[in-house]
Amino acid sequence: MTEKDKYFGYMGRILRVNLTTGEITKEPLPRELMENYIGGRGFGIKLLTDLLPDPAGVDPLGPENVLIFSTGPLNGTMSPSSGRYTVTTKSPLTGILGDANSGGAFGAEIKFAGYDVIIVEGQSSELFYLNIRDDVVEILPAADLSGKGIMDTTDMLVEKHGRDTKVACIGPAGENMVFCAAIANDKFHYLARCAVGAVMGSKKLKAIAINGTRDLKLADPDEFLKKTADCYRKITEDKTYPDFSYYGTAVITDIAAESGGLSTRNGQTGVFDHMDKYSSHAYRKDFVTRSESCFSCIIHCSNYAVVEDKKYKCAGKGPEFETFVALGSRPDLPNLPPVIYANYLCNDYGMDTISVGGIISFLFECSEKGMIPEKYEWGDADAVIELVRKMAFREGIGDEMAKGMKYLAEKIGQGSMDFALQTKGMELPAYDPRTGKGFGLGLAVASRGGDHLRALPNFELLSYTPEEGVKWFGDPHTVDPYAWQGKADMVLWHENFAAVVNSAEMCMYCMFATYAILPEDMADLIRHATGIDWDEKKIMKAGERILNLERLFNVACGLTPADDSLPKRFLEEGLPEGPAEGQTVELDKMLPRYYEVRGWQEDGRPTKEKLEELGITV
Amino acid sequence: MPTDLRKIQAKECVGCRICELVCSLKHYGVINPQRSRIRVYRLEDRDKIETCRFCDDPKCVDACPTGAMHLEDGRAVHDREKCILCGACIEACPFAGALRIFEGELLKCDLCGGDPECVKYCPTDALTLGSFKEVKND
Repeated sequence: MTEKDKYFGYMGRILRVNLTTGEITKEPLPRELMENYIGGRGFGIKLLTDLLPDPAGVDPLGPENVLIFSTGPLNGTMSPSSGRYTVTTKSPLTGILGDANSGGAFGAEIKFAGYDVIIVEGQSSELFYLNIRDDVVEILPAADLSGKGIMDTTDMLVEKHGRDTKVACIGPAGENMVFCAAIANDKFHYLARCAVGAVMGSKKLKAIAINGTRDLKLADPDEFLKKTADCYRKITEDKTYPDFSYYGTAVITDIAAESGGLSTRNGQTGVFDHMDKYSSHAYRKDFVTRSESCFSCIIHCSNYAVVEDKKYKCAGKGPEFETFVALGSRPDLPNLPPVIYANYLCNDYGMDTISVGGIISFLFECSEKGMIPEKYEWGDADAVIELVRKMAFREGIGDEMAKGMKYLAEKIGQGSMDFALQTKGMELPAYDPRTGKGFGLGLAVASRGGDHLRALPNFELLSYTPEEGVKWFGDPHTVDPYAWQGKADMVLWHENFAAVVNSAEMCMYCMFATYAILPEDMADLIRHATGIDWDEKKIMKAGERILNLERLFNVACGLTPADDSLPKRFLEEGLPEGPAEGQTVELDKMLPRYYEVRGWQEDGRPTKEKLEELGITV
Repeated sequence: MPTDLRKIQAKECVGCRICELVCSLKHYGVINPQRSRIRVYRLEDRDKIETCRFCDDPKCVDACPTGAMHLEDGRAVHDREKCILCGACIEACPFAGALRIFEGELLKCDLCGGDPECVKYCPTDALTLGSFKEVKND
């Protein structure tokens, strides 16, 4: 048996590129990594922990930081919605674990080029890009791409290296090391969170162009295909499928508005006055020309949007729910064309719309309260667009905004931190946690800072019966969005499962919007792909292992339990109106139970027993 | 040869490329888009499908010097044994990308002998089966 015959589902190789020395090496993928950490996000944290044993002293923008592109065992296969991949690093925005995850076709192409992981180490003095064709890996100059946006950079590299080439790159924001800089792949898919684009910029890595011709082998192709078809059926038969495949995440805007949790005016209220313009129907009818899919996805929730309006003329992948809020309802813009345009600009500059829109809205509120000399009005679309530009190029006030919301709030002072919607230094996503308490807990404890995708406990929002709440999580309150009881146990299950899904690199929609695909399905898919003996219990244990290793990394970076928190606005300021009027997040009631079921000590560290149980050696 | 032909409606394609994956798995037992007899390329605001259209008057058959590309029931069929990889069929084919050579083999769709995997797994109406006379490809 030759080396490459040993791997099923995986390609069996790690590519390492050291930019300081120019050294390029290929290493076999350790079996221990596959059997304990699955892939993708799990590989990311395990490799990050090994490569940065003393992370507290690591400057995120220095040569000692690493940037890890990792795929999972389902990438490249026809497994539903398996087009995602993860980038892991130490985040300059938060100073703790930074990872981001994206769809498109780039992740699959890494596999077809013969790798599971690409590790970028060191730092270059000149801007360059990596060109990867199977075994041939070149470090090429990128002077002609300097300052270019995502669209031009991608087009130029595909033109140069052929139409089978997939490109991941940074725009001006990444080159300028803005703390909300994203990495874009396939033009319209973004590794947006945690400022991973700034780390790529610090290494002077403009892009990775990749194309592969390798075979991906499956351990049991017949069973794998059978299971895949079964999962397709479960997804398409779910009641959410028709709307989600047609309108995409825009349907969540409708749901958030109905619940009174559509974050408006920087979260001052959850009732938004312009839903007639923002509804999924209005958006689809007025702007969307077609649906698009990521690699191997039957849901095709992406949309191509065209704005004809002269002032905001643009065409490209349209905003998702998060962006409708971040650049729309949070700064209170009454019409969609400037929102779609601002989204397009963020895309081309390569920036995270959640962070950008969050920081702009925060600044608007500081202006409203007279805390800063600049004058901004809610609903001022021109100001939003101007500030997007200034952030990308670090001009004027944009240079301060580019350092993140927490930095800005510390600088402005005057109690502005109370309404700075961030956790652990990362700007919080769209959904107002006062209308879903499990979401609140999930945001507070998320291992990459203010993020909803670590837990995504939609279970509390989907109108399940109390009996189902008892059956799933042992508590009837888990189906009541306003209740805090039982939520710690529910969030823990979601977090462990999300770690599995992110590590296999499937899209969370299949599980967390529908509960159509469950842990046993994931175990079946990964087992048939890899031949590794996964079952439901083992795979959820792997999820828990990943969560705990992330925690250890963060504690080593200096994280304390005080950081597991939410802005005062969500904890103490009741929603002023709407269906959730008066609601706050009772975080102090959920956190002790969460620590208890996690097996974490008062200092925030996992207990020795928990680490032993999970087989983590420190 | 199949009595039902594949109907292609490119405007319905969302670009998931599942057809490429099931095609290569069916024919080679591995997943590799480069081995697929159907390819999908994302253009700016649409997806382009490249595969054999089973023309009424196939130019590839006329161009083939060895008879590897030949007619069966009026449709082009490729015989690997007789193929010398000269590429004449590729040049003659009016559909760019429909025929390709990869690793010493000419790749041409055979509709999986009448029950094409790509049609089975296509999540939209981009690939469907139409009866022989109805088939209109866009």
